Amino acid sequence: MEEEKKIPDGISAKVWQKIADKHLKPLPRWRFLVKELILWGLFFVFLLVASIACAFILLEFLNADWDLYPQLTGSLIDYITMIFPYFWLICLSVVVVLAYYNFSLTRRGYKYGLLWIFLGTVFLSGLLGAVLYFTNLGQWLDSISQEYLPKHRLMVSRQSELWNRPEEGWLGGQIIMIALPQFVEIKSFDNHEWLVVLPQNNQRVPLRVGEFIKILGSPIGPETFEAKEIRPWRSNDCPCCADHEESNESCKMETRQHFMPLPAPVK
Amino acid sequence: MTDKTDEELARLSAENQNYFMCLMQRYESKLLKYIKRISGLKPEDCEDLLQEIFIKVFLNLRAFSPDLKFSSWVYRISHNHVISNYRKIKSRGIEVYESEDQPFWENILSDLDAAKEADLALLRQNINKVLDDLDVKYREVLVLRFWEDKDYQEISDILQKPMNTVGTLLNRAKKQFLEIAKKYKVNQ
Repeated sequence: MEEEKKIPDGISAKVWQKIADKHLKPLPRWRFLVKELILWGLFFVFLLVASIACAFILLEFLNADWDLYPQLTGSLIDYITMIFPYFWLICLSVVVVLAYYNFSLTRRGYKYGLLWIFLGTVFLSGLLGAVLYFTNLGQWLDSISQEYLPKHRLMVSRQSELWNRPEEGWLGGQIIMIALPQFVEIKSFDNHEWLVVLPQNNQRVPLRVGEFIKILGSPIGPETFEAKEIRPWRSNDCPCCADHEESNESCKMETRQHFMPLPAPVK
Repeated sequence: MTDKTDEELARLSAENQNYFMCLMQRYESKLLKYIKRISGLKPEDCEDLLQEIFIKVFLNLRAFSPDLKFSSWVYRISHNHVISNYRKIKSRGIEVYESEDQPFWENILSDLDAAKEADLALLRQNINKVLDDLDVKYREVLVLRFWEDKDYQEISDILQKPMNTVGTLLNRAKKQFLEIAKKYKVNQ
């Protein structure tokens, strides 16, 4: 048999001697287990970040003002292009690539092809992202990022550009002062301060300092804006349920009913 | 000891070095040839590489998982070590080992149906040059399939690539092999 042939140099004998001389011992099993655990741990971290990115993408799309796109941009494609959260998409792509590379380094990771790992990671992060979103963790993350990253929205979407056209009737910004029942002062996305005259029946829309809102209306002075409708920045946020003392089941079913009628289309 | 499987010997070797001697003897000849085939290095360099590989195998014995064949695992370590060494010496240029192994000729030529594509005698005469011209990734997969007679699953475990990728690599390797063989026929 080929394997039983004597090798003249006796490589096995040399190695055996070397192992004995250097008192070499096999590395302990826990080192390999720790390495595997680190790889899986990292994979789950990447998956979590990807899920958060997915939750933000969902948040952006599910809270978009789909009823207003004809007036806001004129076409659905333009509107999607404007609101698309490119930052989170890039973030998701980078993390998915890292997760793929990381997974392929695990013990059995090589058995799965690029496509399967890629699709699996995207599917899992999409699923987890949806769970994050629908359990309101997405909104919580959004409010955290809003609090700690004031320019966060400008980074993730160009929605702010759409709502920074007061002369056309679209104004958005952060509430800096409240003089209820009639006025609030907001800072728009180009850092102008506007005095907003509130509509008569806005008592159900939450107004808090620091909150971002969208206002539909028209300018009545150089720094004064008359609101016909006020929406929370996230249109599907349920303000009366979240902020009012009495819980209202119906508002959970249909948020739009709390808002005032839409203004006439802006030309 | 001879009645024990490689996997049993690997488990025992982690506790008792004497068992490892038996494992090394089983694989010494096979691995030495494998290293020569894929690295194209001089015999003494191959022996040095084999020593380093055996030590690596010994140190990592407890990483061996029984869900894998021991031979696949040991070939994987050898392959990775040779490739990493190849990258270091790439700039110096290498030549493929001059093989006289009849089974390889028969295996690869019958599989490729090369007689139809190229003159058989001519191909045999130039096979080392053909192999030399092959990309390393194609050469290693051809060596594993036709020299070492490994199946797709084993090649997948050794190269740490999915089975589909192994199939694709083999097909491309055969294609490139034939293209280069034809080139030699034209130039002859």
